[in-house]
Amino acid sequence: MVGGREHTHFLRRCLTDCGSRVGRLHKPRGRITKWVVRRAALAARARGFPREAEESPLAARVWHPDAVPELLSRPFPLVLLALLSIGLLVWLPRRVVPARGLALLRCLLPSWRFFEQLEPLPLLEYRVAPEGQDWGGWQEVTQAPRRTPASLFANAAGNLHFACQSLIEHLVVELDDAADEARGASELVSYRLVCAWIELELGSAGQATPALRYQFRLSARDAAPEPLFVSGAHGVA
Amino acid sequence: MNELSAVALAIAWTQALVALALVLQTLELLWLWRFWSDAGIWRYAVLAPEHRLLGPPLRGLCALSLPARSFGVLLCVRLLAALALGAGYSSGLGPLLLFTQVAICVRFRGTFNGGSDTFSVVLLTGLTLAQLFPGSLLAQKAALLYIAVQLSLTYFISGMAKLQHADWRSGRALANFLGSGRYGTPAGLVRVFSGPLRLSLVSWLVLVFECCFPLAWSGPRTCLAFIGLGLCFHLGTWLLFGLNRFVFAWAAAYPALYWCSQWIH
Repeated sequence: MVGGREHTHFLRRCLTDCGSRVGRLHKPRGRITKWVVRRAALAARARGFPREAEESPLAARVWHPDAVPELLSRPFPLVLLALLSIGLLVWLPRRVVPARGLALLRCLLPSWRFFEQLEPLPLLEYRVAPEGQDWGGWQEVTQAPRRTPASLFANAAGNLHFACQSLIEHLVVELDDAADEARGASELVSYRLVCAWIELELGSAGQATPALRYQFRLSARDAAPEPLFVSGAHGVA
Repeated sequence: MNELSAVALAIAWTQALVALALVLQTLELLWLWRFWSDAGIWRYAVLAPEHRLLGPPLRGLCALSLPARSFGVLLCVRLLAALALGAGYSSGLGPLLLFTQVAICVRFRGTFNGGSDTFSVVLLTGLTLAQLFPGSLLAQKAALLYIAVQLSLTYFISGMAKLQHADWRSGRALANFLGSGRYGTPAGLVRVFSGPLRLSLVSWLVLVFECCFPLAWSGPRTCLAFIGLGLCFHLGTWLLFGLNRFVFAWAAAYPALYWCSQWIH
């Protein structure tokens, strides 16, 4: 039971803090006191909630709905906390979730980890053999085009080169997956796209004839003697 | 300038710069038609079986919009829509451009140009939100806020991801990227950025810039300084690595960031 000077102090706080949880923290007992508190609350609400926030306990201020704008008015601690959380998440080890359907829609799931892959991309090379003849030497499929000032605005060749490099990345990943799943490499979409790429290169070089055979390989850029992968022989479609 | 005008101006600038980025991207793709045609590399017949993984409704949409001829039409529509966006028309163009952007990404098995495609999706998602609720100031603000937060995250996450690699901290990673031949870095620039001290210095400049980018929110002046540094950074990545699309895509998000730096104060 609240009484005497404490009671007066309590009523004053109800008048100033009514609507907040301060009123509820000091639960009044007795019918008359409850009625006084209710009247005081109504009167204070009619006056537009004058408040003495510094008198409220911390928990009441934090969890009160009117405390949210106060919290948002000082967003830097929140931003700092969010950045620290994100930084921690970035540093945690990642697990690759194989989901090919989602991979097609990965533009909707950004990761923003640019230039993080430090291992050099394998080199894609091909060689050809006209009918009845031996294989020629291995040659690189494509090289990055030269940079010009105009390529700031229109860099079709450069961006095609990057897309082809991504194709090699996909091939490496899919070959690994195929080995795990005991699938044939030639069934892979990346494999078939690389075949189409080489045939296009052969066509551009004027070499594509129906009797021509070709094969490609992936090898490490550090001139390791063994290639990482060698394809079967294919005829030009 | 009152709040409404400031928001409208930021949205207008974002729209104009996004339009520029999309026009350039689309012209490049149209120029490369030979490579995504039925006699090219990304042949629809090879790609189509993979679209089954998306489920029946999306597979049907792919079959309608991604074969070579339909894809050409889609790119032409996108070019016109981007030009209209640049000219100031906005109603309904955001969702259309967002759809074409996602369609292009699916056509090239995820993305055609990596991060720039993903960031274009972010920009168009923001503009779509703003255009779907043209009368709502809250929606316009949310759109700008979304773009600015994602912009800051691109730098911050990228910086933090690099920071955990000792090779990035020592400068070896930058040397590997420059010397790999993958990006066609001009030999003269490779020579300029040679030597452990220079490489380490440049690497640390990149790491500090990326990790500190969220400070751009601390005020309009700081924000302008970071925008200037960001433009230099992207021009540098174009010179060194040929990433021209990143310049325009990221520049399109700077008006949103600048508005946020003002708004937060």
